[in-house]
Amino acid sequence: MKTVYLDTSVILSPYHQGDPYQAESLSIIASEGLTRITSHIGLIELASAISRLRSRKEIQVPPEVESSLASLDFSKQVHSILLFMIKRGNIRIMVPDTVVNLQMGDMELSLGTMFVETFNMAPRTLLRTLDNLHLACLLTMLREGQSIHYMVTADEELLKARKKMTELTSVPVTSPRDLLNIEPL
Amino acid sequence: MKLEKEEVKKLDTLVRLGIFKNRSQAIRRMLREGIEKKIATLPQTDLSEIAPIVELMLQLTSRGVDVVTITSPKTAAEIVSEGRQRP
Repeated sequence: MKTVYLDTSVILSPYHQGDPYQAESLSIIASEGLTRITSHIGLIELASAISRLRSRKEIQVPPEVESSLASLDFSKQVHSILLFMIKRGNIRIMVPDTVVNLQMGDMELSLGTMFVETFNMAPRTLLRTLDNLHLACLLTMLREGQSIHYMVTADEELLKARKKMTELTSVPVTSPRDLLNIEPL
Repeated sequence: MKLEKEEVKKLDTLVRLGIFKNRSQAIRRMLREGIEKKIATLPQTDLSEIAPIVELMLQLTSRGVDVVTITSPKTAAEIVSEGRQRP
């Protein structure tokens, strides 16, 4: 079974009728032929995206769910929707947790390896911090022995940088559509 | 539990000053206070309340109901990109 690292955009897309990748993302999260993972960075990004959508009233739930959510504070409403998305997609949250010392001249910092990877990677990728964090998570999970066959994203910026990202990690970066072409489910 | 000589000295000072009855009481109270303080600094996320709602959402999904619908004019990637500080 192939393992795919889902970018946050692919976790949200199945619930967005107007999204260009909605059908493909839905197939990916429903497929029994794929193991789906993301990282703690994906989890906090998802919480942040759902919070913005909920505060702008751009995320709807049926009345029976809305009335149950109404008994909770805002953060628990967000966490409920988030947990539903994670459970429905059977998405495993991976947390790379090796700690190493980063030596910089006479300064030494104890950091999680993914932060050291991000620190080292930034000058090479010229990507933004969160993009580098995702990439570093991927690299750290691979080094910790996790098998990952694809990174799937709907983010055009990441898709544009796919060559550089694959050079760094050896993991092909695909859009949801490309993944379904390469690995028919 | 082993304490450094200096720590024992300080404990004895607290006992001598009458703040605590004896070393044991001093250690017990300060340990209790320390635990409370440490716990107060940790972020708490109790998700037990949300479990029945998530279960309801999953049940509705299995019956073919669209439980979550995003109505934003932005694509999923654009929504996520807002948090990625993209222009």
